[in-house]
Amino acid sequence: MATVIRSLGINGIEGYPLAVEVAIIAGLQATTIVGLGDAAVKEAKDRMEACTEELSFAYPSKKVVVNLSPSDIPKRGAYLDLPMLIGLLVESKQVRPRIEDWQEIACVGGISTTGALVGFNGVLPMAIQAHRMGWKKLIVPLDCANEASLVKGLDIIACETITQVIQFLEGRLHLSPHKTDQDPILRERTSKEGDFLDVVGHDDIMPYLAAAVAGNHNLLLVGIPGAGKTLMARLLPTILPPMNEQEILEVSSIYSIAGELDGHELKTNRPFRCPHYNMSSHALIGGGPQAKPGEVTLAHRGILFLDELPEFGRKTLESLRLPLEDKRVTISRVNQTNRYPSDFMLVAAMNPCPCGYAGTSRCECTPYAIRTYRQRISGPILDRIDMQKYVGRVEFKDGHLMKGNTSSKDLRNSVMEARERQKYRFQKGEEHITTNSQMNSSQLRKYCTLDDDCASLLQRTYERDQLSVRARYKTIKLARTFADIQGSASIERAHLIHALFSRDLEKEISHHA
Amino acid sequence: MHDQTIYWIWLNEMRGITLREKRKLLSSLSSPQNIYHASPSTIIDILETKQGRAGSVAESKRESYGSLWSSRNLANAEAILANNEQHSIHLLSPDHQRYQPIYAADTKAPLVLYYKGRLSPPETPVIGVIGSRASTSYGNLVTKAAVATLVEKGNTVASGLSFGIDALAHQTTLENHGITYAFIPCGLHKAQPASHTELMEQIADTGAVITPYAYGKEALPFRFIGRNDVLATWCDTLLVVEARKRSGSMHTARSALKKGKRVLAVPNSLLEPKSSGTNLLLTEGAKAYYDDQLQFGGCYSSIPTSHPDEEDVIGVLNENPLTTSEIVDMVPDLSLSVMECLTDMELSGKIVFRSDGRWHLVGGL
Repeated sequence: MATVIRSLGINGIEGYPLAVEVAIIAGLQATTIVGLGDAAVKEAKDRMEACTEELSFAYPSKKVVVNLSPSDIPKRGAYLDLPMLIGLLVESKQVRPRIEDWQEIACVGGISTTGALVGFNGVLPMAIQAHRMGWKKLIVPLDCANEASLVKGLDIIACETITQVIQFLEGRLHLSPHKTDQDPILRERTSKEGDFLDVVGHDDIMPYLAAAVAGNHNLLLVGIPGAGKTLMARLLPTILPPMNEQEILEVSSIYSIAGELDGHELKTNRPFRCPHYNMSSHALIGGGPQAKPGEVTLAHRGILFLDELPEFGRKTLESLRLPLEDKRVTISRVNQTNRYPSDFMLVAAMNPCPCGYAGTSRCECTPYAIRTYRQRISGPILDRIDMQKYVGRVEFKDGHLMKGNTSSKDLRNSVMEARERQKYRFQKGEEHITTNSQMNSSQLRKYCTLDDDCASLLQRTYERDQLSVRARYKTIKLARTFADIQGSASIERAHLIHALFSRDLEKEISHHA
Repeated sequence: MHDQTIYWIWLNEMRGITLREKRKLLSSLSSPQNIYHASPSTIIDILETKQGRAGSVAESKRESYGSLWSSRNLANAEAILANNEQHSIHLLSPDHQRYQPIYAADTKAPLVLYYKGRLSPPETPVIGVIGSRASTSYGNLVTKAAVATLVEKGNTVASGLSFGIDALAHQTTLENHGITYAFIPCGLHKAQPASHTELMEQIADTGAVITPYAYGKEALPFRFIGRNDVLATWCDTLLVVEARKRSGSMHTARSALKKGKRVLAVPNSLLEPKSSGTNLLLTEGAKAYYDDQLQFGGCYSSIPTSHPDEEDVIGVLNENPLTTSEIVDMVPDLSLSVMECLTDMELSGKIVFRSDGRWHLVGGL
């Protein structure tokens, strides 16, 4: 009867249970690995042969069939080497596991011909899945043990060599579960990346930044070079609210699969991604032959910052339309189709014109050049950006370097309060959302009632600026966020006015025409 | 008399002979219909009367006129005429009493102009107001003030429907219930630029949109030059507000000077590159435009205010564009909140928030 070893695979950003079945049957000496493995999986055969030799075992001189079940899901990577080798040695009766319930121990890992175990990307989602299914023990290479042991309630057995694994299974070596020194619900590390106190002369725009973060609204900053757009955007992580445990694991899984989990530690800070404008749409959305996650997924639960927005390729920018609305992307390739989450806050920065100085006497652009430049951001994309704010030039009253008036701490406090209010409201209403920007139209009607005065003001603006229905909804959501920041139960006129002042770029475009 | 329209269009559209030759044919044969029905030899005789020189050049021309005439037909003209009728486009030809004096006064005036809308009586002076597409607040201010005065005195304001000064001249005329002509560099099937389609329709409601190009002709670079010449021909006086040295406005201005029209240029600092052309025009025979009213707060003393706060805000904005917090600093005792006040003023179109992050008076500095 065939030997079955428990293991795990990765599909999208989630792990799934997998059984490695090894059978040795009558026939000429040959090894077949079935179950839609890629080249790395197939090559395991030679690694196994070399390793059995290295460890002074004998490779079976019959036909070896390895089935990776479920056999209809494509597998890629070398992390199934270890279960295959163990299965082979157990099936050929060269290794006799003696410890209790050894069949319930799962293992994953790559092997090297020297007999050592090799780490791989994506162990975290596997560990999460193992825990979810109530498995108790998981053998992993020491390289990725820290990452795997971030999951509580699952014993991670970290091994350095194949011999250690064999000795452990035979009960000749005792290994206690690996402990990471990192506490998963450890408070976020305090950011050393500056403070909004460094931003001088932009007091007008601070409430808008706080509102954008509080309600998770997309934000576009438009201003002359050197006005401080990039600085402000890069400081936004200092006022982001911390992630909860579920979010931390979700984000860390994504980074684990992408191989970007630095030092195999959990991502406790919200992601802040700032890709260069030279990127392709595949890098942004995800893709490649293996349908890997793109920047929109890596920015999940965090900020995607696109500096110099008009410089991005048109195709790249347009591909943002769906992830911005749906909060997830589906990548289809020949090999597989993956669905990745992409619930991010878009922050973008751009100059008002090609020379960069529109609105000042230095600008030499013709109105036509300015229009063409601004048209690089298509209507549908602009429409999906809740706030477009002009960032003006700062005039220093004297030569001294000044300090700003608003600190990150103050802003963050108002963000946190507003977030709490939103969370409370939506929890009470039994909605599955946490921020205002996620409201759909029925939720909008339920939670954002406008009095007659506000409604008529909105209608006047709506008609004059020819706002789209979506823009109108976004304005109301923003007004709701401003009300939350002020701690007001209803949307007052002042909140709506703030929201109406959040579409500077679109207003100017509609006026110019 | 038989309707000559289709023959005018035919003659105007005909390629292979110059405008000067067309005019020569007209003076000999008096009507385009006669020209159409004339025999090739008559045409050749008229066109070559003064070419005593025998030789290969004259010979080859003789042949080309011959083949030109034998292949003449009215199909193209009929198509244009059909489009004109369908889109209520009117035709101005030299036998039209409104166009006759203009045509006669300028040997380079085109045979035919197309227009939409209605023309004011010939005795109304037509003043061209043109300038840069990238206008500055100074240019905008002068344009608004100048156009308001011109309209008040009963002039028709002509311009080119372009961005910047041109559009502002048209808009200000319409706001003051004056009559304005737009001269465009393409057929009347569209506006140039396309985003001024609505403005073009408004102009045609009370004034006219005029072009030397037939329905369907696109705005190619050489047609801008042709348009400029027609604008220069049609104006009695031309006011150039802002122009760089190398610009379409300069072409129009020089064309008008050549035709002996009165050209006014708005002077500005010699250090201002956007006025380098207008300053240069002053040395080429243009007169300086002068208006001492502008020194006293321009046209803003007359903005109707609905609230005392607005007056204060307009007062400080008249000096300089300001950020919201600067307005709060300078007008500390607002009775409403500053945001309320700005919203009202923005909605009523008095102020606008520009990309320098500051509030500007509309059309102001």
